[in-house]
Amino acid sequence: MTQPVPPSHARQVPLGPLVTHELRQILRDGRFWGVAALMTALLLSSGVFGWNHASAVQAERAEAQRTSEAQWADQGEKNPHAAAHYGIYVFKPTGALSFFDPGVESSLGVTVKLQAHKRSSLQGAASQDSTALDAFGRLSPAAILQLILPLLIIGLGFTAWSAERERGTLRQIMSYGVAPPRLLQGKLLGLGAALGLLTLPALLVAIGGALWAPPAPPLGRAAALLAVYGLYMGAYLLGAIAVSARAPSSRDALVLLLGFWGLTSLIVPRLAGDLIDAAVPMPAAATFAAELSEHMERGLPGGPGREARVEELLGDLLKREGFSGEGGMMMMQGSLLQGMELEAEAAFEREVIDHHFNRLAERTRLQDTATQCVALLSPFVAIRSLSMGLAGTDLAHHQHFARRAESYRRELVSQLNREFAERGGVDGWAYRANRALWEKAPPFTYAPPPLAWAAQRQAISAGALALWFTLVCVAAWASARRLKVG
Amino acid sequence: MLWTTARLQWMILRRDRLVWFLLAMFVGLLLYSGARGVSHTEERGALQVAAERAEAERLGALAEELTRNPPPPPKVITTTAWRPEAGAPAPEADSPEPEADAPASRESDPYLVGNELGRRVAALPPGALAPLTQGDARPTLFEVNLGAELASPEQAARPIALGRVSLGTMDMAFVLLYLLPLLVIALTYDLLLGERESKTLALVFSQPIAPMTFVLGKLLARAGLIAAATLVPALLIWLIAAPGDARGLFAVVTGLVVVLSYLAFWLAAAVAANAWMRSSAASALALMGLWLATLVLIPGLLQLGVEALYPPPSRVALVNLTRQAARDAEDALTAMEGTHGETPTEREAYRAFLLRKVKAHEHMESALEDVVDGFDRQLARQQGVVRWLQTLSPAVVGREAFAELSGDSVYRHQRFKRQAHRFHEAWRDRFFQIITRGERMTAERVRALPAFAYEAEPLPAQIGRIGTGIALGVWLPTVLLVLVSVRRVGRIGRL
Repeated sequence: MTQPVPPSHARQVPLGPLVTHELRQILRDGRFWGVAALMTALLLSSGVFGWNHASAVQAERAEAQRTSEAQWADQGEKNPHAAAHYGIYVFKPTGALSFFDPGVESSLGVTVKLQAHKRSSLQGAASQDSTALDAFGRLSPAAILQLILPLLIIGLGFTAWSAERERGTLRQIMSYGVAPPRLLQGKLLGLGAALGLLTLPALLVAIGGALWAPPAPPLGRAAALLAVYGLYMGAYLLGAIAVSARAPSSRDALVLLLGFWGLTSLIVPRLAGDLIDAAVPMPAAATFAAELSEHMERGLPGGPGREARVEELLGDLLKREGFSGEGGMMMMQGSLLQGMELEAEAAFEREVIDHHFNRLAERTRLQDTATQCVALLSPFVAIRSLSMGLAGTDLAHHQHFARRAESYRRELVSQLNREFAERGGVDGWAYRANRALWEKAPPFTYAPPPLAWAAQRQAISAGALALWFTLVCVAAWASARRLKVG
Repeated sequence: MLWTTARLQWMILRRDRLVWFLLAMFVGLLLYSGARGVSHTEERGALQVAAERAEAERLGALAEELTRNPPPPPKVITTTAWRPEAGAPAPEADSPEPEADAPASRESDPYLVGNELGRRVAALPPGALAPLTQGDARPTLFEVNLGAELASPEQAARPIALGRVSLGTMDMAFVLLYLLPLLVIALTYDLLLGERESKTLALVFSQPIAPMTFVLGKLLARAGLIAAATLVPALLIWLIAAPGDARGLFAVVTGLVVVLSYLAFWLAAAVAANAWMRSSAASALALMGLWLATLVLIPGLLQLGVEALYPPPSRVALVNLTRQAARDAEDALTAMEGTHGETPTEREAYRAFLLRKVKAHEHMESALEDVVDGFDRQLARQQGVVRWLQTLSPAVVGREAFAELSGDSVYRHQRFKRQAHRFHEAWRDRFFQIITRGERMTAERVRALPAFAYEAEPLPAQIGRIGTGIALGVWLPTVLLVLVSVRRVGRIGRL
């Protein structure tokens, strides 16, 4: 029976007693404390373990980077282009907040060899050494908040109105003239306070970890994460209260809420992931590698062959450097021409690499947009995408690193080719450079993108989460206004 | 009485639209995931077939070219006529030597053939029930050449499928392990408690029916529906995918046993929840708690524990260790490869060049051996611990059994890697011997090159692993759940 209470009859009861009443009811339940203890243990253990793991990984990669630089400097005397073949390994630093949300880092490579003639993918993904347990995903603070916390919120909130109604206490409260929206505020704050108790450990772990995260505390990212998780939890809390107000019984409210959770957290994401990959397929690794290799050998489809294109590029290069015409060519001797040829070859290879990797990047961009659009159907997808993006552990951050590594590779190879061209002289390929040249190569540095960059890439997910929150706010408000009292 | 109860339940369920909606959704998802699995398997198979066809064409063309333009007949010389460069191994006495003035063709160059023109692929064929899982993290294709390490074209340039990586894969294993329990929970959480809450339980027990018979009757109708909704689509997909041999039959039968065992565990859990909880809401929450523990918490906590006690070997460290170990050899090789145009063409100099390369490769291989072996040993120790710990969760046991049947298990990949390594070693030895003897490739030699064929694990070993896991991880907890429920259910009529 729906009995809207006319606003004129409603009294503005102080909020304090309503909140205290709600909170006391929850805290009196021994099961709440059991669940709170379990959540605390889970969040603390996963957070501390995650922090230790991330710190160890970060330290290992920093050390590996130093070793790699030392190996580069100690490579001995050789031709500069042979040094370009020897190459240097660079290592991707872990995401700023990977201890909180490792995202998809385990599926992505961590190191790449930068060498002449080829752009390699990052190697050494942890997933290739995964055990049977890895198929279930990593238990991180983020995973707990994304998947488990909604279940606890449902457990806390599904009886918010319905239990009062089934016990008959709702009619009693309403008879005091408390306006339903006021009661809604009381319930919301009471349940919110209980939820705060449940998530306090995660909050402490996140703040502590962010403050200690090397090399600089990513406080902006941590604050943004807190905000989006607040919205996510708020959306579930309001949703549970709204359903509890409208469902015929507590049992129905629970079934509806669990059904929504299962559908949006388990079925929609995976189904969407599958459909996205089917709609915008990525080339198979072997096919991609084979096509790249073929075009490196023969030239791009529809364009001139490799030899012809390298000739063209060499001509342009010679012209730019003032060696055009017969007189210019006469001036070139030994390594100068060989170095120029290498540069022309490298320019050709850059064209082929860009052609393939840009096509790949465009597909990834389409997949990313589609993935974020799924957030409109699932708050889980929205928070997952936002969380990874803000923690710096998503594919976009990985590609940011890969692009920086590739640009460094090009600079390094060009520098070595120039050195060969300018200093090789009549020695040609017999010319040997030494440590002095290797040390002249600028060290590889990588600065993770700023928060604004990450936020811009997550605009759709952020919008979807805000929309979900707004919708459940309206639903909770409307259900309170049209409350079923008995 | 059991059948009467079951028949009555069936009549009630038949009219419940929610039940049919849930069943239809489950069957739809199972069929969809199976169909995607079949197409994923076909794509993977097609790539392997394409790689093997390309290999056959390349080698065929090579043999044909060598038949048309055979290398000049070798001239027998004695070792005294051979003056190798310092450090290069001397050829055996009376080894054949090509004519001094014969131009060396690319096709007869053993280094070029072994490393590039005649390189082989080592492919891991899909397992008997490949559509069950769609994992593609581990390499299934290696390129066998003269390099010191096996190269995987899949790992060298690996486009990331963002949808799957960030949102997960809707494969059959996911539907069966994650969604099947949810279907069981949705259809059974109020098996008895619903009757109690609607006050019909007392009416039922006023009839001459034992509580256990009543529970079993209700359960039977639901279990039958769920089993039919699971097994019919699963069998359909598996029969399409499985090969028509003993291995295929074993895989299908084992798949059925695993699914039925897992289903029995969740049905037993539902009866226990109905027997011990006071309300259907509490029963639903308890079952969801069990679902969470089985599928999220236990695997997650075990993973953290295993990583803390047996940390996985680091691939980052492996990169630097291998580079450090094989530094001299890599240095020599890259120095040779990085001198474009400097490659000696004159026969004597070229042979010396090749011998230096062989020596560098062999040095690199022996330097890497300890590092790579150490890495594999540490990985095997970790996997060994996981094998026993997985029995703490029926879901992990189920996942591992599905991985075994789909051919995506850790054991199968390790076996494949070991076989590919052995083949790679034999390949290198063969070519290094030819290079060391100063011989050239002929059409007969190319035709006699061995091909890689994966040798599957004997069935008893696989049965042993799956059987142990299912017995300890699924049957044992199921029996315990039945035991804790039986006495309690017997007292329901008196409650």
